[in-house]
Amino acid sequence: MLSSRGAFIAIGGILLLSIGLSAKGIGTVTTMVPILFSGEGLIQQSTNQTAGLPEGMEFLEAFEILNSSPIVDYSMFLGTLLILASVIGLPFFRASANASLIRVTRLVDREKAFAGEYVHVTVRVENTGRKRIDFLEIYDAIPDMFEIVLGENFIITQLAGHETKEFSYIVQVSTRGVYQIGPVKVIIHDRLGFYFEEDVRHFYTEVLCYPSYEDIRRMEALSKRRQQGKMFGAHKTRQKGMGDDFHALARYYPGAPFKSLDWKAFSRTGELMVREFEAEKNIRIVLFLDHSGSMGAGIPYNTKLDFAIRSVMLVMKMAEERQDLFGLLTYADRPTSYLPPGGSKSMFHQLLEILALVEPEGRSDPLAAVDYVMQRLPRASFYVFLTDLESSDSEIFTEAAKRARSTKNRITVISPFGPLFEAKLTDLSTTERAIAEAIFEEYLGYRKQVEDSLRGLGVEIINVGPDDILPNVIKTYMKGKQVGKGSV
Amino acid sequence: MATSQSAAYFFRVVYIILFIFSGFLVLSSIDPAMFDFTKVFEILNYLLLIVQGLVSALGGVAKIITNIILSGKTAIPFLGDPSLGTINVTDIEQMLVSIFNPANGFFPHSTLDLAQADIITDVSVFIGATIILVLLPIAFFSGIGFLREGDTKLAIYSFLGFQMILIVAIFTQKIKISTQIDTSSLPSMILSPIFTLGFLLYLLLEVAFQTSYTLNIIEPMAEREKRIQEHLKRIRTFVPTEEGIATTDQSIQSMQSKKFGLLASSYLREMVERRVFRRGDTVRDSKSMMRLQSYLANLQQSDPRTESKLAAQTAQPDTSSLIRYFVPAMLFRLFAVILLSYFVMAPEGMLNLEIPILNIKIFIFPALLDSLELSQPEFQTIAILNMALILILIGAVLNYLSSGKTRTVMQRVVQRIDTLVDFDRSSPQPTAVSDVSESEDTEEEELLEEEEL
Repeated sequence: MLSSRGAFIAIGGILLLSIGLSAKGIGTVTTMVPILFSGEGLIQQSTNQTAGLPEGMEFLEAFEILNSSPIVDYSMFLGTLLILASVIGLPFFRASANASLIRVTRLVDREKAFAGEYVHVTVRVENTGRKRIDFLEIYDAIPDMFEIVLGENFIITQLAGHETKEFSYIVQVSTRGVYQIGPVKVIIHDRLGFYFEEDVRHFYTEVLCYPSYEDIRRMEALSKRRQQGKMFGAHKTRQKGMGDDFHALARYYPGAPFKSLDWKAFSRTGELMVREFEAEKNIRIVLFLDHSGSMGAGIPYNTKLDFAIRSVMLVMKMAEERQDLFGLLTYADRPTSYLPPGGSKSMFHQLLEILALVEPEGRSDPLAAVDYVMQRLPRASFYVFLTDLESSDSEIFTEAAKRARSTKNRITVISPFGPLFEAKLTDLSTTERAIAEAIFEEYLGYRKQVEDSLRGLGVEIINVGPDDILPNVIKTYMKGKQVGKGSV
Repeated sequence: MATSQSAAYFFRVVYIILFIFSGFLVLSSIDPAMFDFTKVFEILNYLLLIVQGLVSALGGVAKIITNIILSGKTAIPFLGDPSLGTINVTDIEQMLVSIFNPANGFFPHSTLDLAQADIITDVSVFIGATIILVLLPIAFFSGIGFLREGDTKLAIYSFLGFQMILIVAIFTQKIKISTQIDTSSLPSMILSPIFTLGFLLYLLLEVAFQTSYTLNIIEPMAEREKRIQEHLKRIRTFVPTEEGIATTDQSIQSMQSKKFGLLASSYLREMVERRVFRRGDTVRDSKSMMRLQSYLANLQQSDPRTESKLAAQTAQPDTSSLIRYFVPAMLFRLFAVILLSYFVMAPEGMLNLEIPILNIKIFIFPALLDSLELSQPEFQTIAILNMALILILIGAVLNYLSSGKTRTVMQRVVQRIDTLVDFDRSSPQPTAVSDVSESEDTEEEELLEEEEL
């Protein structure tokens, strides 16, 4: 195929041929002026050259004078030259440049990465043909979410027959999701840039990007200094039970085991006292992650869903450390993925994969989600909903809460409050602020209504913004553990 | 790097030599008399005369119209009277015939003679000289601009400028060299001065394209290697600044001393600001750099060629071969262009071609050979279009042959098996491969199945 440069040369040639054909009969200034003004020049010139021609044929010579004008000759010559120059190399180019003979392979050092991590992509280009390619361009397309931090995702090179060349680049994955590297565009030019052949190879390498590990890494750094009484570190339930750690002394009650009698306290106080111990019970927590369309609202990469996912990861990590049973259900208009409560380390990877693939879509059906879990998990658990309560009717949520409570499940709803994720009020103009405040009030009114309907069921609703969603999630988990919600 | 620079220098030097030489030839081929601006006063004098003539002509027309109106008024009562005031009807007829009959020229003989018409030639030459004076700096500065910028558009402007200068000079016949292209034989055509000059200008354009190739493709690749090597060095030698570490430590300290909620909120705000508003990049950059440093170190440990791959060292174009192939390739190309141009411009030669031993003519068109049309530009046009189409067709056939579509199916199956059983492969398997088209794959799979059956 002719490139723009080749086309320019060819069209220039055609134009010059046209000029040559048009100039036929015009001649130069010195021949044209006398002809134009008197006709004598032509007559005189033709008279000189028509001697010997039969009578009536003199016009032939007259035309010959005009046809053989230098303008015609030069235009025709230049036009011919340019047209031939633009096509002469085509057979050689077509014989050597065959994009289908270029074999491109892509290799990534990892197919799964956390957001913010790096992926090394190596592209190998091989000329399977025998002919040398003088000018080869290879472009490896990357998703918008990838940022090239080192190297470049294209190459312009030459490639001899059966030669292989490699180049690589490092990309940083900015946010969770499934991304495809590709396609690859192969462009072959000739050295003069007159022709090109282009081929797009639709082959892709999938990279699964987990949510950022930054929060967990930070939490781990801080939890190295774990202390009792602080938010980070191991915490035990404050339930009385059959543990080893002493909890308190209490008055003897009929039926209390004699071995728990504290004789020293009896001698000191004269009353029968029994020792109570802390129970080392774990809880069973199930997070319900709503990924309906409204959860995708907010500043890009910091939507309600993004924050909710980070919360899930934190709780999961904490639960794993405390050997609690942790489960997850993601749902929109139906349950989309379910991770039954468990405590194994491999669960964390399963969880990451689930969270990487979650996308905001559709409406929210908490009732279907609760039903789904209850069918598979008959035991009482601690249900924590991460939902903005915006994609479903309050009645449906009330019904879901009723059903969950019917089997003694404990429920807490952590609800990202939409307007807080959209924009800061201080950044808005007066009019925008007024509208935002009105919307804020509207949302608040709706939430109040939902809260009222759920209060009777013992469901706690915590409204959160981007600044306090993480602490609230952690706090909810810790509180639930202390109280023993969903004890195993 | 040094090689690529030498290639760029080589092509630049070739371009400069050709540019100066062809520029000099173009200038020296123009008759200096063209730039005789003393005739300007003469032209101006004649222009004044023309203006005077126009004014008087307008006056004459006005007089005629007035007379027609007046005579019309007086003539109505005397229908059939040929008299129209002071002007005779036959005079008007004569005037109209003089104006519209091309055989008499566009003006009556009595109004302009040949001597007066010469001034029109002078005017044309003057306009031509002015155009050349405008075109010359465009052509020269575009050429110089091309050498600086490497933009082929500038080389094209330069080429067009020189060609326009030549065309104007030819049109005004103020060219010192012979404008006739002698097509009696190939050498005589090549030696025709105007052919040589026009061809030299085209050669300059081709060299410009070749120079552009080195300037825009090879040099950037070399620069890319240099740039990435610098980045790698910076990453390798990166040491986090005290300021960055202090900021990080302080943030941890302050986190421990404050309540968790407040801490989390400040931390989150910080995160949001960094991501969304790109604030506070110092610490983040420092962290990213350290992470990248360790990542690179790991990569380098697993594959020692990582850095060379990143810098695309193996993909650097071979510039020495470029220079080596440049002269023969270009000579061959230009010779082919000249030969085909000759066949187009002197078709008799092509039509008389004979197969040497058999003495058989390739083209048997005796009627065409005797035809007057053979020397006409129209025939050249037909010949060039046919030739171009034949070249395009040959290209398509060669492409079809080289694409391997005619290879036997078995060859492809064998190749496929070779690819599948690659015992030498020590590196990890590629995650994605682009090879033959899907349809071919399917075809091969079907054939394999047939083979198994």
